[in-house]
Amino acid sequence: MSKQNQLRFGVFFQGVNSSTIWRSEASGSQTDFASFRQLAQTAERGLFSAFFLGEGLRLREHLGSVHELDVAGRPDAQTMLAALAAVTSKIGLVATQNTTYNDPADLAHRLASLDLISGGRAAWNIVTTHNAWTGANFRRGGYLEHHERYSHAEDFVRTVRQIWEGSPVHHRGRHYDVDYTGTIPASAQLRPVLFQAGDSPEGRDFAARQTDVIFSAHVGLEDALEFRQDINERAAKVGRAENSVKIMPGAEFIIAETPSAAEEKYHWVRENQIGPQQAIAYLEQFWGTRLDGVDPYGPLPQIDPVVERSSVTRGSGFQGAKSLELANAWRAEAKDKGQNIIQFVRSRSHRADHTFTGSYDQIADRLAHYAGLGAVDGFNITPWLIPTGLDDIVDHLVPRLQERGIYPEAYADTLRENLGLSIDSNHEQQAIKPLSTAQEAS
Amino acid sequence: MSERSLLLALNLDGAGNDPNESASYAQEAENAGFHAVSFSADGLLDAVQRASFSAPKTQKIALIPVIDALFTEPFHTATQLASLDIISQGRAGWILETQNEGVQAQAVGREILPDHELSTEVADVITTHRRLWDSWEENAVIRDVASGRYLDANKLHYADVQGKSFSVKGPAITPRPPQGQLPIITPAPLFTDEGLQHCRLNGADVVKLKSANLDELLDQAQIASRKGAVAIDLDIYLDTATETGAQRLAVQDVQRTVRAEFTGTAKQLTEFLARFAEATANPGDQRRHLVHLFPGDLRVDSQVLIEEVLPELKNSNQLAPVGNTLRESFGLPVAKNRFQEAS
Repeated sequence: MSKQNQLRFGVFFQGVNSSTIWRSEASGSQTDFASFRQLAQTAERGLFSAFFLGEGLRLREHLGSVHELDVAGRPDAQTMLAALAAVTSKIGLVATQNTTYNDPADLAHRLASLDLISGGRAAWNIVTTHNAWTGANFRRGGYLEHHERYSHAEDFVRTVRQIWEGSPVHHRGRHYDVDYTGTIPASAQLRPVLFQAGDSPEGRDFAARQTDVIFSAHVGLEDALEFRQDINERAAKVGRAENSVKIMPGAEFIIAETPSAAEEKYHWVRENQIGPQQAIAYLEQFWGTRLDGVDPYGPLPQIDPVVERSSVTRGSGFQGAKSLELANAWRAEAKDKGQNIIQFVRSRSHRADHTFTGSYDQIADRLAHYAGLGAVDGFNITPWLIPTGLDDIVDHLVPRLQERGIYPEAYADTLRENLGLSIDSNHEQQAIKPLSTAQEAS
Repeated sequence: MSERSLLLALNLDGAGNDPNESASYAQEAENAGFHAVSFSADGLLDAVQRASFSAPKTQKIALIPVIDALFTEPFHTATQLASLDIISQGRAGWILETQNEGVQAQAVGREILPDHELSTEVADVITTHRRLWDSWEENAVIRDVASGRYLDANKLHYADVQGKSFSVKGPAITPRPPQGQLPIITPAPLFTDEGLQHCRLNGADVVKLKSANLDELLDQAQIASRKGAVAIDLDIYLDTATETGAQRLAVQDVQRTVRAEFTGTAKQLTEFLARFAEATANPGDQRRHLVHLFPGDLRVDSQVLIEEVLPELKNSNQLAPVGNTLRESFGLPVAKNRFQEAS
């Protein structure tokens, strides 16, 4: 099989979410360096391309106070990755950093720094954020409108790239000015790799113009194929070659020796991810009120939401929706499927098509199918247990993927190479050209 | 008593942008008995990251980055420093600088601050860090299966800082660092109006004195150390078998700084350090005081320090013991949590 059809793995240590199990005796610290080191070294043993960290800007809140039910508390991404650079040698180190509450000069400096410290293994997962609630932790406060976030982000990324090129930057923007000349030489991979996860049409165009890899939400095979085609079309419009934008959907793996053991594990994982209190809290954010007396093992609440639009748990990724409509639809759906609250919430918060459940061989075969069709370039795996959540993947799945010829046998030197991206000198030019075109058009 | 009150830090910028070289100097400094190594920002890789890279490769030595307080985001720097403290298990500190220059300001699209606003701004920035670092009580992560709660929201607190030029809500995104509060080393000239007392009220732990004159530094240290821990910076050019420090200073294309310069033999430096220890000694006081050494040539000067100066200081019982945390090395008490005290 050709190299192009190889799959690559990343691991996403989320730090804040409901998919990380904290109730088990096997659940380790979410913040100790030892947890990060163990997970990163396990991933490196399994030839993973990248180790991802999220970014915390404000602690999640639920109905007006700090959300208590999920793991929380994250060390700074780049500070942690710099330490991990000292205890790993090949795996890529990806920092999620937003374009709203960072300064381009500072962020460009720190990312270039991480790239040199790690010997050409750094990447930036670009995210946007806009709300004033997050801004309350920063000098600027809430200054960006929702509709401006991508134009702002693109302006920001362009400025960062110019800084990385090394020439003096004099940027006059709508929200900030930058006069700065970078001081850090290029790394072995020239500059950090760019990841992005936006999914709206605007977000996809942004990715097609700016990024090397998309951390997508499209895991199911057909969905992934459609997404690949869509991105290729968008990339072609800005002069980029087919499949030059790599795609790595986020995914969860629940695997075991046999199909029945995997099924058993699946139920254990789901039970431990979403407990009764979390199920109720999940509904509360859409109902807009406390649901104290509601039985998590009973049907969805008969009372109607008290808000017109849902007040989602702040800092989470959920989207708002019209509450009464949503409540009616959900009540019907749960009744239809015979689900109680906890079953319903478990099915909603962990979409079945984001999870690969099965025996090692079954999953290896499924992934071979993905590779054969070129649906994705790999997967960004969210482990449900810290720090041992990758052990079975590295010990049992990776060797089977290698046997099938769809997984690397060894590391190259830089992250860019490990992701199948090129490091030729034209790369920069190719990436920059469409930017000026986009600029003229706007 | 001047015994065992001296702390020594070695600046590692001379290792340049090679993190492995930097880490191996940190290891050598640790073995030689230095209390800390420092990383300043100018022109090099990010200081926090260089410190962090060295953390897993060392066990005892403190790692102190220099970070500007004016043109950075307090929420980010508080998170970065807390993270460095987590990674190093209590060995982080912060040398606070105010780079109030056009080039720093313009990089982030801001303007330099008028002098009279500097001390308020720095005080606000320090307060923000202090309150964010306390915003998680130590046992805020409860993992209580019965109630389904990972956190206890009652043990998390809004920082609610209302500074003159910015505000920060909190709580921190990172749990309370192992030291609770990282030692903050602040330059003294910021606080001349109301003196050093003012500085301490605003939460700095150590005051860094400023003079290009060695005797003047000692005089300042004698006065300031009565009120709390002090630090002085020295550029050093030490004599070797082949060349004197003064010759190196004269011959080399040396980048002169505003810091005091020391040239001479290992023995002379040892004597100067003993005078500093004597000047800062206060009966019955457990506080330690820091001399921060900036080698003219890291390779050359660190060799003299490690082979001659440190052994002599140990023999004469001048060096303070290296604590398990930087707070301990400074003789600072365990940091109480302001939110826990209030409740």
